[in-house]
Amino acid sequence: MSAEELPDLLLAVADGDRTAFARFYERTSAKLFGVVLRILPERAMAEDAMQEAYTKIWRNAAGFDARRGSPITWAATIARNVAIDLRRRERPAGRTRDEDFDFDALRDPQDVSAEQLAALRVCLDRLDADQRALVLAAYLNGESREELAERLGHPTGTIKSWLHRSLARLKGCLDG
Amino acid sequence: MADDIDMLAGEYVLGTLDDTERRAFQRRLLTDPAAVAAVATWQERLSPLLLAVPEEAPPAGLWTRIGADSGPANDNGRLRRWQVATVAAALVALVSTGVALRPRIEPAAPAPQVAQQAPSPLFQSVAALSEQGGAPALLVTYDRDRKEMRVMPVNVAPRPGHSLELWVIAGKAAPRSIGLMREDGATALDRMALDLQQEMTIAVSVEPKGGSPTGLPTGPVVYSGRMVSLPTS
Repeated sequence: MSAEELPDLLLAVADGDRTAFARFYERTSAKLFGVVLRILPERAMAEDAMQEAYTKIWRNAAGFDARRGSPITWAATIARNVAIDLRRRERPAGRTRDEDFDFDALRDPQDVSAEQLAALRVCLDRLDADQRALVLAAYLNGESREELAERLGHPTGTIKSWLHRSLARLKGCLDG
Repeated sequence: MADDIDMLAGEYVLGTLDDTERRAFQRRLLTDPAAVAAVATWQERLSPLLLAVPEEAPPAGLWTRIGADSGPANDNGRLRRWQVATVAAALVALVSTGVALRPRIEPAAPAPQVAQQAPSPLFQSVAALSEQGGAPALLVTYDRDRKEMRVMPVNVAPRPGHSLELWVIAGKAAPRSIGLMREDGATALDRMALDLQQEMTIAVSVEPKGGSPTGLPTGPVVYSGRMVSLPTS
């Protein structure tokens, strides 16, 4: 077997195939580490999160459902959740990014449909710059409501209502 | 209310709920398919962004750690795969986040009991557990006098290499494990003191063999249902 598809690998992982798991790791770990490092800039902690995430992937591979998205999305979501949990738990003195998020630093991924990403970019671009930055800092860097409030010097209630406004506009734009 | 759940789910996916809100929403995810669906939808909306983040090769030694870590947990062998409730599957990582709120090293949760075969039923309360509000997959009855719960599979998909664990969620409390389901039919659990004055939900999650290592559901919740009391004659 040569370049297997990720869904097939994940099926084999669900059957307890450790070789398939090693190959799944090879194919996905750079993506997942990228996701985790944004949330946990400290590498030792990011590695802990990776270990926890792949343990979950191994245990729960049988729960992956191809009808609900790609294996890489499923795995990246698990990694992000683990990283955010760790960040909340350890409350590391995270570096904060003040700069607006640079979309062009994002590479168009091979695994997700280009249209999906394009649609999301268009809809994010329609938000006010401040609100877009808020959504991206929360989603990609794992900043909590409190962290955002502190960094921007606004009450948490204000942050919350901005987030709600952004979410509502994103939803309307994406589903419209 | 639909908007409210949508905003909650959106913030849950963003990760901006505070601890209290997050815990409350996690409890809701265990019992409310609409909340689960809302979370899955937000994940789908935002995930393209996640995949666009620049890659970074992890250090070479990391695989060694992971390989050592993932030994015995998944011993599915070459068995038939099983289907999980689709939304729950997408959320496999979500419901497990409750463990994040606890210290990293925890005393092992007490081993769930695998119970005896049961004599004939007599009960005052019953719950029909289903997958996303579909046809009942199992029936749970509770006999207050004998403090006995019986779990009868009606249409439960086998989960090779995993255990199905039963949970009771009373009112606003965290889920409490009430044991593992037998793989060969009805399960009886005795010495179960349930406060029937409270709203009670019974849920089943897919766990590693031998049950959840954390004392909270770590795998997807595949069936759940509300306990209703029969009118007393």
